[in-house]
Amino acid sequence: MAVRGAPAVADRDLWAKYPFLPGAESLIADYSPSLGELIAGPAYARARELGRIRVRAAADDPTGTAALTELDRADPDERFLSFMYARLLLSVASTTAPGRRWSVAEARRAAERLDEVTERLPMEFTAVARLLGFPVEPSTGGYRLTLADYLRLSAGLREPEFRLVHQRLARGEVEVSAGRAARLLQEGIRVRLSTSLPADLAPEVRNRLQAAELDFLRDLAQRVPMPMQRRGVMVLRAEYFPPCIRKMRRMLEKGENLAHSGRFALAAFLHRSGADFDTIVDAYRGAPDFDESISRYQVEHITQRDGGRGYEPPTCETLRSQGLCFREGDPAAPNAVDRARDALCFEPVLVRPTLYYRLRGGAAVERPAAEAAAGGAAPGPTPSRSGGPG
Amino acid sequence: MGKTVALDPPTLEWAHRQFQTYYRSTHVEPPARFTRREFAAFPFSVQTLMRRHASFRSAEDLRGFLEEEAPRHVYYSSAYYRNPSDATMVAKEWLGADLIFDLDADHLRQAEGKTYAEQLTLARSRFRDLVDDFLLGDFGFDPRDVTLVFSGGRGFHAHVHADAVLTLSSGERRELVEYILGVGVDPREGVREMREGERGPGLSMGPRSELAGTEAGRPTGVRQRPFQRLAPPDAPGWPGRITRAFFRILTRWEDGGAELAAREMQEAGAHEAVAREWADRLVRQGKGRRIREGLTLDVAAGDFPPELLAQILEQARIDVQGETDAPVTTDIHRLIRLPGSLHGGTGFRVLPLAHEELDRFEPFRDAPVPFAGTSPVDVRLLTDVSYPTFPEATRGKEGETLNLPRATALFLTLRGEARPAAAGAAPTSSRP
Repeated sequence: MAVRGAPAVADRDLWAKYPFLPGAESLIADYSPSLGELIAGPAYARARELGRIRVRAAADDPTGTAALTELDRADPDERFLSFMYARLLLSVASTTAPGRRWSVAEARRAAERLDEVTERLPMEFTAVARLLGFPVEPSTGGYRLTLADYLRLSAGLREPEFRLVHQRLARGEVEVSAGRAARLLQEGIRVRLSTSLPADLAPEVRNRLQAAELDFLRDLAQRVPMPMQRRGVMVLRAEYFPPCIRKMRRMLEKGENLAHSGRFALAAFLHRSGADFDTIVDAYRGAPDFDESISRYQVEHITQRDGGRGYEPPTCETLRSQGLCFREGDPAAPNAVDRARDALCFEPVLVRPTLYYRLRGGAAVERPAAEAAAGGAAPGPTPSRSGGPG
Repeated sequence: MGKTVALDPPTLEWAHRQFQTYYRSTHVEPPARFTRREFAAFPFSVQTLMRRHASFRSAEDLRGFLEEEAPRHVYYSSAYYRNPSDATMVAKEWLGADLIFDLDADHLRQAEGKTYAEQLTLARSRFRDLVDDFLLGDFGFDPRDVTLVFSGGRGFHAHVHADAVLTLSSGERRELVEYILGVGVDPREGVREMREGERGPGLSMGPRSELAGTEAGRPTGVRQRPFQRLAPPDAPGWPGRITRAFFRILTRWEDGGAELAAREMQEAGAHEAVAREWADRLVRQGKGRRIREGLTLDVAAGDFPPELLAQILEQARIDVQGETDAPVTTDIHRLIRLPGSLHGGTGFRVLPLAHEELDRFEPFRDAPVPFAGTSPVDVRLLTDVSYPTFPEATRGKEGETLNLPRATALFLTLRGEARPAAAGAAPTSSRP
């Protein structure tokens, strides 16, 4: 092997640890004789399995909070290759949702490590930032970065403390604490990952991959991902969703047709419980007549109303009249919990699904108290075209 | 964008000839990357339509167009495109845009009730603050990357063309605007750094997210009594700016006396007794000096009047919102007046200004076209006029005929305040 200069070696070390960095793909050659070997070689079965786990885990839980014990136990080579394999898989996936979710989950995973190194290994942190294209400099109060880079990294963050007006800005540089620097870089990683998909693959590689992973890809396309919380807003607790909403999601997952009234109720509910816009759209992917652009348009309509508060989700009474109340239990459900009668739904105070969610401990945006007391009528669903929430 | 007064055809024709004279005798310097920009022009003649989606391949082409057409208003896009002359945004293919700040006297709160000349003086001073404090100060732009322009109307434009800003999105530009406007800054809390995970300041000047203030937005620390300590005046960001603004107010009051302080606080809405008490404390009892020296507000019992705090913020922020419905800075497809062209509502030059010229710039002296070697022009006044700020103070009563320098005549004509004798008798329809 040729002798390499010190900076190059440092970059190579970082590529192995942070496989999302630009240039890291060139390391594949060090671990695997060819892309073909990685896709089919028996020696790489474990790396491929880990790659599938990464993709599936991200699709199910994009916040990346679930520990991937298999991944933690894997050796560094396997970890690196599994990342690359996951990226290959997502490059041939038929929908973009899994890729978006994987970007969030992998960025979160990387940020956990970066969070540690901001204080302990500032050199490593600055090197990763530099390779990502957002150079930072250690300073007394944390890290400094240029104004333009700060704007690019913070644009997608909703938390008020990231607004420029609250920053220590002087002479074109923003100084942030180490913790915030890691959070900003996490956002940079997320954007970098999502824009690096799909990878540019030769047609024969693409075909081989699709053939080899036929079942996995089909399952991935049909999987209706769990909605994600809007960034910095509140934690979304799907386990606290009321029976009606859980049923609606199961129907869409199975590709059953959910009536327009149900689609409307689901979107309005998910928005009020803090779900991210994109992931609300994702909830309809299983619908037999799913059309991305129509769904986006309709979800936007439902969620943007009233300065972003969105439509009021229908009351329990309305849902009952539409045959969408499942408080008696859903005999067709696979889980015992869903088959059972839900006592909370029979409480007299329980008049709407968001209230159920709140009583169980979820955070939902309700009408202002005054308006609710005045009995302001909730606007009804609007007529819709097919293919999305109505 | 100044108002365009409707003029009768002979008058328009006369004004058009003056514009032609100007464009034939001047070399308009095309903006950077002009071959990638879209140009738009409003003609004098009512028969000709506005020309949009035009692009020019060379400086000569642009000058040729200006000499030929001598349009009433000329704009170019702050954005540059792969195909600037295509009619749709998609086909144009956006590549980037200068960062534009528009400071218009029309939108300055303090400008109400002032004459045009007074408004311009106010706008110039606020523009100076915008450039020095924000653009070259906090934002750190290199002066070579910032072009300052008198708009020819009521305001000033700053064009930033640093590479780092060209591809900023509209949302990213909004952050800069909100920084200048101080959106979300509460002087009561401005002195404290926001802690990790803490929610935004309580008093917001802009729309708040309907969902803010849950989970991530809960305050984490125990709140100290806010606004007891001031940040050092050279502290970065808004904390230092609030201190500086506060000091400027204190200095003004100390120089002007307690009466002035009490009056200003009352004008800002403070109750008379409260205003008097605080004016006395700050000025006569020397508490202002203690505040400045100790960077503390623990100088008297009782809370500062909120009106005083609001005044500090008003002093520190700058209104760059421009036209409220179409904020200039965040619009990345904006058309903006071409420097070197003439403003069709005043006949003034849209004049690029060097940074050091800003303080000395007098619109009524420097912006009119010199029209070298031309004779004065007779105009008949259509209304009473008073423009003492023109080098030859211009005053007169309706119906009077004045012999004025050509540029002054052009100014009054375009504003609909006079009619050049050369345009013949006024048509019947426009006679009073």
